[in-house]
Amino acid sequence: MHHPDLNANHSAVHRALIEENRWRAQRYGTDGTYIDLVSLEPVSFRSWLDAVIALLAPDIEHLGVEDDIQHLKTIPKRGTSAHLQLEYFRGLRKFGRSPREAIGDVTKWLRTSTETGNFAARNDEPKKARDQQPFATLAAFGSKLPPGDIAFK
Amino acid sequence: MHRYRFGIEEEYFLVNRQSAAPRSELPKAYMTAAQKRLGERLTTEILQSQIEVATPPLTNSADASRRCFVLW
Repeated sequence: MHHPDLNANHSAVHRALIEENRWRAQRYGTDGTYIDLVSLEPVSFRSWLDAVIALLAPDIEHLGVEDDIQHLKTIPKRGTSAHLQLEYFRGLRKFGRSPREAIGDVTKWLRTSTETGNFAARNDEPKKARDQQPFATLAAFGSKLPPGDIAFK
Repeated sequence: MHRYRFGIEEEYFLVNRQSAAPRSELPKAYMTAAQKRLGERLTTEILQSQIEVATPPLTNSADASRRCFVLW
């Protein structure tokens, strides 16, 4: 433990605010604002992420995960898979697909993106399977899989 | 050098290719084949249509990145 004094004065109120932040993370993710426990002001996800990365800089360096941590900054810019799923679903609904049909299309897109290893790939885009891609090998179970079944993550 | 180790779990949903509907149960033949291939790394989840695959304990992110794409 590098900083035994850090958060040492937390009270029940702080814990309640942490629970609130946890709820916001679950509900709003990268779109949300979070309560800064020192200033008690709301901060954006990006500001909060920058602050956490700065706080953890020595540990990040020690573990050799600088590139992985920096990648976190691209997530609010690009959007998560959930953002893309919602965008695709809403687009399909505007296009006239029923809710059930649209969910089916989103599911098929998830399968395609898992197979190609590119979560932004859509069904109508060229599929470029990776050599070592989990689903490519899973498909090798084909003979064991009842017709019409397929797995995705 | 640190001695922290970690693992990554990936959860998969099994759906019908045509209807895209989740399976109400996991086909036995499929699970037998997957179990044979993955051993302890394969587990089931609460939902019948879900399976979970875990990496062995890892020590660095480069290894994790490779492992996640060669789990199968």
